[in-house]
Amino acid sequence: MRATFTQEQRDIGATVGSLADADRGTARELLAGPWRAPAADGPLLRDFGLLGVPEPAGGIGSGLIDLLVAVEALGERLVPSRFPAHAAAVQLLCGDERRTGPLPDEVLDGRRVLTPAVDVPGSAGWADRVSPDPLVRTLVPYAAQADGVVALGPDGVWFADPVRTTARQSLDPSVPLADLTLAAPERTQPAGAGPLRAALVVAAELCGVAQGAVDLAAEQARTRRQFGRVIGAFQGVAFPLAEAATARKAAWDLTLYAAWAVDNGRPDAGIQVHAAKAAAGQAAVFAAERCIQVHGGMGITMEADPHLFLRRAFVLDARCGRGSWHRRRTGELRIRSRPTSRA
Amino acid sequence: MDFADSDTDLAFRHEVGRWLDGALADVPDQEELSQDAREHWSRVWQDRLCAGNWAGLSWPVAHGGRGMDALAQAVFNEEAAVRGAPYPLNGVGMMLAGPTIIAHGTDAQQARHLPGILRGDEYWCQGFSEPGSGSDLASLTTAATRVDGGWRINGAKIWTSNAHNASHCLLLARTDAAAPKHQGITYFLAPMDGFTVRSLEMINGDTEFNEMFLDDVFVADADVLGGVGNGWTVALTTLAFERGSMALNLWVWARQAVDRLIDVAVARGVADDSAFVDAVGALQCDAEAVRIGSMRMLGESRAGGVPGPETSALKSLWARVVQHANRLAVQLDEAGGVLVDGDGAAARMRRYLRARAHTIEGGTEEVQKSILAERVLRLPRSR
Repeated sequence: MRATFTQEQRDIGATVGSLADADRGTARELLAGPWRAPAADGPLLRDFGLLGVPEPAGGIGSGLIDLLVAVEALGERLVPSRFPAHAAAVQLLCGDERRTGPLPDEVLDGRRVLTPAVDVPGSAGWADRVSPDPLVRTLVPYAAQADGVVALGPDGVWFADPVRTTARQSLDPSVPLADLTLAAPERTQPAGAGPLRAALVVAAELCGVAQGAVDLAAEQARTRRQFGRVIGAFQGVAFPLAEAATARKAAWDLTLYAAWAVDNGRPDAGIQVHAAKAAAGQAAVFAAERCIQVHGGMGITMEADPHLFLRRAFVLDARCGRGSWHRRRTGELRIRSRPTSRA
Repeated sequence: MDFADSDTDLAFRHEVGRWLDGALADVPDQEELSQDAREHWSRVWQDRLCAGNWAGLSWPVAHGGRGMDALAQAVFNEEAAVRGAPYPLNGVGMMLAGPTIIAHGTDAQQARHLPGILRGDEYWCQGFSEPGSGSDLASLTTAATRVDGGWRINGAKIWTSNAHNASHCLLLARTDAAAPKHQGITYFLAPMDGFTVRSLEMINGDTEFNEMFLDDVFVADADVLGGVGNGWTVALTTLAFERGSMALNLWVWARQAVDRLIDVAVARGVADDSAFVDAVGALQCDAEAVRIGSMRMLGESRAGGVPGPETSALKSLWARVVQHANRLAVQLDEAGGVLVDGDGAAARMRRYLRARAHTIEGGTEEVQKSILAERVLRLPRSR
């Protein structure tokens, strides 16, 4: 039970972090105007595509936590890269050990960028979905900027052909969202743990967003002065930030453990992922709201950055099953696991 | 990052489990017992731990312990807690006094106290808090005056668990009133002859805490631990051991609180209500976060790091889970918890009221948040 990051994982975090530092301003730039690739986009897709990919799917022995560490670093800096969405789509395909062979090289080396199509309009989460599949997916990120779509349906996952793509107005313009109408699949492969793996990629980015919002809020609390002192000296300011930091830590711990549980085929993997996704969404939204609050009047202006964190938090909380749905699933599974509930 | 037990850890876990299953076979569920009965079982349990050579599990071999690390202690505590084992009556001796004496004591002090703690015939309590010094511990005013061969001590202590069972006290007193508040304190290993102990009745009817009054109590020079004026540093060691040993139990208690809540809801037929399911989902997130956070904290300590301010986050999450779960459990009762003439309802109310202490004892919620604000967020001191 070491429960510590490996040196390799620390290195991944540091490398992706410094790559992402160059893109700190890009989410703001994309508020106006069409999406364009941030500088890190190409290098991430090209050099980090094997992170978290199981060996039968063409990976080189990197675990899911490796990938999550990288994605967390991107979320922290709000990098509007296609990489997390691409990685979630890849993970969607990696959930069943019976799959026939490795993923195509052009997917793993980032020449073919994928996006996940998981969420169904009017349905809060994937397990609520009823057949027949409406073959419409919503909240699909980077649909116009991706080369392929990986869809999740009641029968499994497949490389989907969009019949129609309708761009929607995204709350976070740095993450374009679209509705897709898909052709009926000729065949699907079993999803297995794919949806869980994909949801964890989203959870990790949410944990990053929460951390970025906490950091920005703390910096403001350390520097902004009122009544003759920095406002962080007031407990009314400091304590909500401590709560945000606690919620973020809880969400990140849950996410890391869930990834370990999924990678090791633990029987509790499902409930752990639901708990992680629920907690990560809540932590990110809470941290972003506190970040706005601590910035005072500036916090409610477009020119200050806190709202960027709130936008990203909302978009990700809704992706791969809404946070509220994951929370309810967590409760259902927890209650069902009590011996008394089966009486 | 790997959360699995190593083979060695697993083997130890099984060894512990086998012993516990035997040792607990005749021990009833503590949650349903009166305080007197719980105290009886706490003493029985302490004797069994000592007889089984578990009392000094993480003490060095040179001091009569088994020389295992904090993780082994965590495994033991965890396995004991999941089986509902009683809280050992000399927890202060095993977890606080012993390790502090090992860290700061002279050879003579170690020889005088450690064997008795391991044998189970020297019971300890912790005389830190005072009526006027709660969160601001360093402001304590219990005064020690120099006399021939030792010190004469006057003052009052409060919130002392187990003082009515203890023979010795980890006592902080001010030996230099003129020094800055952190520097005038001395730490005594005080025999409790001459202490007046009075129990405090808590809002749930229990009397687990006490007040202690010291009127001209004599403590010998030989019982000064760590040197005159160094009491604050020694006290920080004790507090670190206290946080460490607490943290290992928290997640089990959180899980058990959620378990009990679900059982009540199932019995009342409301376990499918969506509001209840959502509440359990939120509780489960926090309870698991305590468990996983504890594992990470232990991992960091084993890797040579020092547990950081994250322990404050774990304590805060734990308190929230248990308080919330226990509140929901009484609210599910027929009359919202206000009719306490049934045994089950009374026990639930007793637990709910006890849980109010969780955001006060062991560092208040406000102190935990201050620690996080200062040490994680690097905000200025606000207290």
